[in-house]
Amino acid sequence: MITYLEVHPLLVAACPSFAGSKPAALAEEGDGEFIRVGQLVRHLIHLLDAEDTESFTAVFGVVDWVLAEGDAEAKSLIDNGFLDDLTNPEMYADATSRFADFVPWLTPRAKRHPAVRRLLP
Amino acid sequence: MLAPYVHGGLVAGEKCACIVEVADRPALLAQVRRPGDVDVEGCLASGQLELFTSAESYLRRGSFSGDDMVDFWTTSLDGALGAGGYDAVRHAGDTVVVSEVVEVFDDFAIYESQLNLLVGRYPQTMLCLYDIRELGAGVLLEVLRTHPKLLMGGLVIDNPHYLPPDEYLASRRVRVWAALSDEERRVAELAVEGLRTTEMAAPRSSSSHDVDRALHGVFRKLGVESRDDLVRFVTERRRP
Repeated sequence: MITYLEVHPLLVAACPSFAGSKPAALAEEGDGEFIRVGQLVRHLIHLLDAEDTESFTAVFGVVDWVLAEGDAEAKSLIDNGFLDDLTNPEMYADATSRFADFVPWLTPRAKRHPAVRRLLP
Repeated sequence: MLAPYVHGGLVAGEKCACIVEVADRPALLAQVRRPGDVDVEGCLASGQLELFTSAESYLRRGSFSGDDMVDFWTTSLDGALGAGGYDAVRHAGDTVVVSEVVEVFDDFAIYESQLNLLVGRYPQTMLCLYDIRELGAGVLLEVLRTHPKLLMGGLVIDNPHYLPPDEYLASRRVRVWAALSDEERRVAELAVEGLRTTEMAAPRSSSSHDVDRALHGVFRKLGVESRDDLVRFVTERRRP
């Protein structure tokens, strides 16, 4: 079973470019897992703007894996953190991409998230 | 509403710059064009009348940026009042074409408020066009708080709900702070003091997950991206 504190390291492992990114620099360890996962979402939006989507299959694979095999807090981090930020229009304020551009990488489990369902065509 | 505004500006010899989509221009120009007093084609050719699309203005960087739009209007003003030789400028922005931006991003309301500083610095008039049938109640309230005068039914009305830019920003800080839950306010104050979320959780035996989630809610509701932003927000809020 994947635990709460394992989620962020798994996501970063799936997206190595996050380590040197600007959002990573904004995320302090003391800010907690939700903020750190939110900064990773910010980085994914920047990557999508730059059409650099090489890591997306792995990242959304981790998302699906946590939703399938995470404990309650790990699933909450994906549901109320990762997917909530990914569907938050304010995260795209400085971006040309929109949430809809991520849909090709969303797995059926991710698509069951209420905010995702609302925004799906 | 836009046509008489532009017509009056051209007749007075003022520079007029408007954000109007290409599809809406024939109707506008037909209303402005009045034989004997306004040569619309001449004004367009000389640059006295300049028209921009949303892609050339609000979205010229690909997405909306309030700071960039203030730069956009400032550049227009400097050009018109400097080398252009005009004594006054009329600007107009049709927001209907960027309704998605207006509805969603707080940035737009802040931009609208900041424009009032620009209006005070230059001899200019600025007309913002909204389709109130399309606006949600929340956006309508922001429009009321950011525009000193309203043009409704052909009448110019002094808007009693208007807040000058500094007061507007301060009122926004009060409103978003009030929107936090008690737990979120507690976590925000502790974060400003420099505590890690694990330290915030320990004395109350809350789980780290719950505190992490509360701080995430704080960031989201206040629209801050980092702890430094949060410190700035709280410091500004505490300022009398």
